[in-house]
Amino acid sequence: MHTPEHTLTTTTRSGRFVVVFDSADPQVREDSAPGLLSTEGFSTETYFSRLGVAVVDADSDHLNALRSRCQAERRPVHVLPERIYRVLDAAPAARPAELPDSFTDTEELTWGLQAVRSLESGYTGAGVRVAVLDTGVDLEHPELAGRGIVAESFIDGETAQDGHGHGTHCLGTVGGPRSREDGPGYGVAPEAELFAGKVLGDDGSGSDTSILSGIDWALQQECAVISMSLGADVPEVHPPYVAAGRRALEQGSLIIAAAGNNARRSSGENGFVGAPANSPYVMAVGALDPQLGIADFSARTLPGRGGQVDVAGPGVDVLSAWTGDQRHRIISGTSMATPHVSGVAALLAEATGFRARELWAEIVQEAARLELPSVDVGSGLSLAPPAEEQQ
Amino acid sequence: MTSPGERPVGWIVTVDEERTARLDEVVAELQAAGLRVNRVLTSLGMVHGRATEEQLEALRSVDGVVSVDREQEHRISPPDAEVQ
Repeated sequence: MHTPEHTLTTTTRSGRFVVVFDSADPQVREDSAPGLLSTEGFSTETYFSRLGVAVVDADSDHLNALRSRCQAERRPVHVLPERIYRVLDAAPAARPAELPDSFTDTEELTWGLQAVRSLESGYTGAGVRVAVLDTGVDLEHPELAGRGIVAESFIDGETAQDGHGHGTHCLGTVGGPRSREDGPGYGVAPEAELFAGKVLGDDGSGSDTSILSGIDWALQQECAVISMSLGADVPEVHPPYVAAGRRALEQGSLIIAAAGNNARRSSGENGFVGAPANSPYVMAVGALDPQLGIADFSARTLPGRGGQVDVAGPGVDVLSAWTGDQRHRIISGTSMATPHVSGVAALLAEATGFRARELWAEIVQEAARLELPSVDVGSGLSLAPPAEEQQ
Repeated sequence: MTSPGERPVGWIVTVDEERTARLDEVVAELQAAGLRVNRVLTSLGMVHGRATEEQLEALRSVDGVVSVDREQEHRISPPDAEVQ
C-alpha cells in the first residue's frame, strides 16, 4: 500500500534487462520484434506484445549484438537495466510542477507567453490553421498586416475590419509577433496560419447565426483550432453548439471557448460557465492572474455534462494588439485566456500532428496542475509542448 | 395587431448527420413548412431561418430535423471595459 509518507525508490538488478521496441506499428510489436529476439538467442518467455517490451537475462556482449542488429534493421530499441521497486520511509514533498510564484511582463515577452512556455517549446504553429471568431481584425495593424491573415465577415453591412478592438487583441495573442522592437512579444504561435472570422459586430454583439456561420467557414477552411472568446451568460446548454462542437471534432477541428466573466469571487459569487463553452464538445477556458491564482471574474464549472472548466490560461493584465493608433492594450478576461490556449493548441498540433479529440487530450495532458479547485481551472495552466530534445 | 406567436423570429435548425449529404432536400421541406431560409451551413449541417412560434411544430416534424432552437444573442463588453 502506498501512503503519503512513503515514496517509491528503485535499485537496478544485475544481469536482467528491459528491452523496449519503440514502434507504434502493431505488426512490429507482435511479429518482427519477438522474431528478432529469437534470432539473436533471447528468450521471448517474458515478452509483452502489446507494449513491445521484453525482460531478458543477458550479458553486455549479447545485448550489444542485439543493439547492432536492431540498428542494421533500423528498428529503434532501448535497453535498460531492470529495476526493483520498493517503498521507503520519508519522502521529500514533491511540487506538482516547477512554476515560479509570479510572472511579470519583461522587455522580451508578456507574462502570458512566459507562463505557457511558448518560446522554450521551439514550435511556432507553422502549418497549423487557427480561426479566431470575434470582432474581426485590424488588417492595417503594422504587426499583423504582414501575416497573410484570411479575413471574412459574417455581420451584415460590416467588413472584417475590426471596429471594436477585442478581435484584434485575441488574434494578436494567438498569432501576433513573439518578438518586436518596442515591447514584449505577445503571440503564442507566431507562424500559425490565421483566419479571422467576424462574427461579432463593431458594437460587440452577434447572434448564433453569425457565430455558427463562422464555425462552418472555419471547417471549410480546414482550421485545426477554432478560438471563440465569446459567450452568453446563460446556464442552459444551447443544443446547436453541442452538435457544432461534435461535428467540428469529427472533421478534425477543436473549438476552444471562453468560460465567461460572470464571477465576482471577491463578493462570494463564483459564476458559471455559459454557452457555448458549457457544451460537452467545446473546450472551456478559465483565466489566471500573474500569480497563477484564479481571476476574480473567471466563471466556475456549471454542474452537469459539459459544464466544466477544462483548462486555464493567462487572462489578467494581458498585453496584445489593439486597433487604430493605440496599437496595444492591456486588458483582462477569459476572452484573453482563451487565445493563449488556442495558440498552445496550435503548437501542440504542430509538434504531435494530433487533431480534434487527440489534440484535446494533449492540451489537458500537457497542462501544469495547480493547487486550485478543478472546478475553477480544470487540468490547470495550459503549456506549450516541451522542446524537441526533452521529449 | 399580431400576437407574439405570430411574429417571425430566428431559429437554428440542426439536421441529422444521415441527411446532411442531401441537405438541399431538407431545406426544401423546411421552406414548405414555413421557414424563411437565411443561411445553409453545409459543413455543420444546420440551417438558419425565420418562422413564427406557431410554425415550430411543423418545422420539428420535418424528416431529418434533430432540433429547432431559438436563436440567441451574444455580447462582449464595450471596448473601454477593463474586463472583456
